[in-house]
Amino acid sequence: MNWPAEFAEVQTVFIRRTDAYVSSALSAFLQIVRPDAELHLAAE
Amino acid sequence: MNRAAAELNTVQSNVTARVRALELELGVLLFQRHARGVKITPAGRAYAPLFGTPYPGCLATPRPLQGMTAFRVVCWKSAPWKRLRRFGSVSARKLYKSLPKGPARSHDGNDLYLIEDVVECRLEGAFVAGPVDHPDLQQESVFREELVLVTPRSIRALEDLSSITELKTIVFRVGCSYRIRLDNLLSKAGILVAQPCEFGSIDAILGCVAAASEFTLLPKGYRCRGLAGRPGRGA
Repeated sequence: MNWPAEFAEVQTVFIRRTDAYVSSALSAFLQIVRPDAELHLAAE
Repeated sequence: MNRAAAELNTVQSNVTARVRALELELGVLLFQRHARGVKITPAGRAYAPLFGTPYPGCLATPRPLQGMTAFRVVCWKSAPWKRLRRFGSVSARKLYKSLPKGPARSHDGNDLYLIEDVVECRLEGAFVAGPVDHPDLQQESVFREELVLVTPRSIRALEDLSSITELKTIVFRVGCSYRIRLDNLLSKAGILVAQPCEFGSIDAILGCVAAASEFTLLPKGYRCRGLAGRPGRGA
């Protein structure tokens, strides 16, 4: 039995208000949690 | 302050009192007072975009930011945050420890509650199952996980589920994204399920699955001993 793609995986997303103030700490945090940060850290 | 009072059609003392009350609530000085008037502080400048936004809830219930560094980001059941710490390795852990209250905490709710908290400005951000379609929210993909059906080992194939009488799913309460996916999956497969059993923790769900002929749908990382995970990509 093949499952439809929407049931096979779950995508975790980070949500925030489009008009919210982004503090420097939150900005730094987002830089770390973005998927390309993982690759960057692995390369270090 | 005079000009603000005129703009708001009120008296200056009223504006001053509201500003002082706001400063007390936020715990930061928004204006520096001197003999000739007031001057906006760096903290006031940082908060200004919040107060200029059109939704009044922001001003009525300002977010409890601690100075300029802390923020509240929440993920449900803490599991996504644990994965983030693993993905982010040393840098994420350093950042986590360096902030006054930590950037992320688990939340005793589910995705629906978290989305509502972000929309209502009670949280700066949250990790939830995507995609999220809301006009006031923006989203960034963080990571993707494979979903598995978690069953007792006695169930060897998906087809076995349809042969069980009084089949029960073990799930979190309404609003859980895994539950929604499981319901949709079963509905699509034409499998009838009795009233789902709701639990509040992963441990309780897994314990119940192990003890009876019941099953649930979770990310692969939750699998544990004594249970079988059926990969979602075709079992």
